[in-house]
Amino acid sequence: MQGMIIGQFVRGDSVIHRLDPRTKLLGCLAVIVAVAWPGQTISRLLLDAALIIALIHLSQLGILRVLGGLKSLRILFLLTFICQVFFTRGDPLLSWGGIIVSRAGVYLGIATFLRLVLLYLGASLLTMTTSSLKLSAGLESLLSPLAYLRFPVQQFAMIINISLRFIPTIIEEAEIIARAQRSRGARFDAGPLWLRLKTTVTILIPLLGASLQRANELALAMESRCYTSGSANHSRLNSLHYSWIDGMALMILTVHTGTVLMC
Amino acid sequence: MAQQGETMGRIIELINVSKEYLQAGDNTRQALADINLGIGAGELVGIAGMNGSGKTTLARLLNALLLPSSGKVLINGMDTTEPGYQQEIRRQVGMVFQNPDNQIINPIVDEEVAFGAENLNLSPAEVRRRVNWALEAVGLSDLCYHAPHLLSGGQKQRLAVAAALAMRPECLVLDEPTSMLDQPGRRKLLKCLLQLNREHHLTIIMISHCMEELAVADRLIVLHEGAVHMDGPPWVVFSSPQFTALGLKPPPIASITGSLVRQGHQIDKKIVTLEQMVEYLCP
Amino acid sequence: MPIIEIKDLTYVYQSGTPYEKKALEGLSFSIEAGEFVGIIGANGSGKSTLMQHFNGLLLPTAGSVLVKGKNTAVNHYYSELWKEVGLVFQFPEQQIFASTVFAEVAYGLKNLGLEQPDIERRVEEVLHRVGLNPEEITHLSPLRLSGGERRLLALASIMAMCPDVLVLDEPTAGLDPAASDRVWQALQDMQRDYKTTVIMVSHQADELILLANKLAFLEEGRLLAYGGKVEVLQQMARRDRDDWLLPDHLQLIYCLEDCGCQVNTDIISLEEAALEISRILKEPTRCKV
Repeated sequence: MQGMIIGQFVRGDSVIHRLDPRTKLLGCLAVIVAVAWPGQTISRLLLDAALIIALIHLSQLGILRVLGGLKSLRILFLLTFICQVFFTRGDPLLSWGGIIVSRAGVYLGIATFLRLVLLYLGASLLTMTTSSLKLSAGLESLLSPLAYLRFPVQQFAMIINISLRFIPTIIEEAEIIARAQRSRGARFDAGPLWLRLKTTVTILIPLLGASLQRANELALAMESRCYTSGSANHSRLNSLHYSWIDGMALMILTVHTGTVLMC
Repeated sequence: MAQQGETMGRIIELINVSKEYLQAGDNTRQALADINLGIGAGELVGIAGMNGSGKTTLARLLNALLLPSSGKVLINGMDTTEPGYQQEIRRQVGMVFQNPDNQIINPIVDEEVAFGAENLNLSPAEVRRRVNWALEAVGLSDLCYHAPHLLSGGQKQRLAVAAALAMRPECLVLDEPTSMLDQPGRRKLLKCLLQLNREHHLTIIMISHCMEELAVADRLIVLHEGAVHMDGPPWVVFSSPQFTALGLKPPPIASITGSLVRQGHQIDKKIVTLEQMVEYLCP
Repeated sequence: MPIIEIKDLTYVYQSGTPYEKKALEGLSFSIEAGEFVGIIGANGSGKSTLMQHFNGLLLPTAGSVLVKGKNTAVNHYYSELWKEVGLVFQFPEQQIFASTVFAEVAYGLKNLGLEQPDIERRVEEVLHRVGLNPEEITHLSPLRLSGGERRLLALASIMAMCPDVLVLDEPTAGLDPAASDRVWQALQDMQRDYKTTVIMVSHQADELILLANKLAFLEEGRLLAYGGKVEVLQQMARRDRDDWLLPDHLQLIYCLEDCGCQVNTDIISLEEAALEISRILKEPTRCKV
């Protein structure tokens, strides 16, 4: 299970890797705006897709590797395409029986597909070029104004960090517990659904128990190292710095988002 | 008995310390009863005892994770019950816990070591210096940018030691650090701790079930049912019949020394480790 | 016919990916029914991987594993093996999920399809066997037990299934001497009363070498020695001293042999080692370097 998660961080030294995580998070936000804005036409979406693919090329991640991840979403793409095509009213393009395929439906189907692809590519670009720690540091920095509204920004970032740190550990633990229960005859892959769910409980309960104990022990370990919740009074080993490439990138993002919003 | 503590400066003092826990149904469980103990700077102290004898409670009283129900715990003169001293006490007394996984917070080794130093609000340059020094001291410099979940158990524990070292403590308390490790991992951790004690004069207090590990200590304290029953050099403690009466087994070499002494052989009674025995028999 | 036969067993993790790792290579050995076999190896030697082949959790990449004469990979035999080969992983108390001690022990028995009266009888018997008192604890939540008692409970839940082969990974890790002794006693009783074959996997030899009939020494996926205890221990002593897995008293004997002492290396227990050292002290010429 070690390296097989889609969208996982890949070490590198490309210009995208070197961008400040805040810039990349804002880039992701720009992608979301471009995707969600109703004024976007298919040609503009295609242009955006080309832009992202160019960025992926810049990041030296390997276009095929990133696009390969789209395979696992093919069922989602197919379902949404079918929904849009068959359930959108408009000028009929084709019809047989009672089923009407409208021009608007096909258009919307393609547009939605492109939107989903753009979202996926934008998120992948972000997570594959930014380590989890940098991500949470960037998030913490961007959300820091919320601290004035009493939002616990620092604790939020800590929660993200700890969760990311423990995901591989918890997955490993679940596998070990599953093996132990299979050694007592538990079947996870056979029998009626309700039985399979009941068997899953034999993993979930010990996992939950272990997680609660872990939370307790982690808290003790953190306190032992002088952590006090909510203190803004701490430094950072690797602090974030904007550089000129961030400046350029932010300018490009602003211009692009501007053109999107003006449609 | 604790002469060593008196000749050197005492950095830890427990005065009439008791600790009770509340249990279901208004019961209280006495974890520690009237403990008086002093630990001097630079000592390497081992703590042994059956499960439930109060070892973990004692350890957690030393860095103010727990407060005594009665009596006083003083760290370099600072009372642990004073809220104002707690941060400084936790800086001076670092702690390493039993489960290697459940004390590592960050997804990257150098960030993990930096955590404590960051909480002290030191400059990033100083934090970096301390991280490099700490990783060097435990022999993990090569793994600076690795993810902790890929390390072995022994490496994780050494990482935990480095994380504590980054705060430049005067004393390190380890609560059964080797019980989830394999033999090579245990050995490397011990070597690292011995080096920290001998070369950097770090006071080390180690709780363990493994008597071979405690045999290298300067001083061995045995707890039983919340009280200190034995306190002295390991060779004295292992050879006393009280030790086995308390449900513990001396390490193999100490047993051999004991039986040789009983048979009337002229052998140095202080031999408790493998190295000492080999050195004696085959110099 | 041996109860377990391993022939040229090779296992590769994640074959064909960048994370490919050969965990076991060309292992061949067999275990007779009723034997107590100790498998010793450091972490990473492949012992956990090997263990999971005994009850069909893993199937060989190459070679074969035969349990009771039948190949685990053929005819889905591996999916039924859990009834005959019981596996106890390290720190088994981490897998406890039931709300009462009774339900926890009964889980495997229910999966075996036993009737309720049989289940009750077996639960009571096995709890006695591990030194726990059924009357006091069957209705309690496992959370009310101490750490050592939970370990015994987890062990009991596998023992209750009365498997022909019991495979355990470091069953006494983290236990104090009193609880450890209860575990050893329970295992020996199973061996005696049910002729259970016991296979214990460990990274340290101390207790194991006293109880086992045979030892196997694994290093980096290869079986370096298998057979009588003394032969295997001597093989182990020839490895790199920094990573030794032998208990201190045996390591002492081999260190003295290295120093040039005339020492008898046919030794297993602490008492024998003490006697041998005593003999050396009486005849100092034996250790002239």
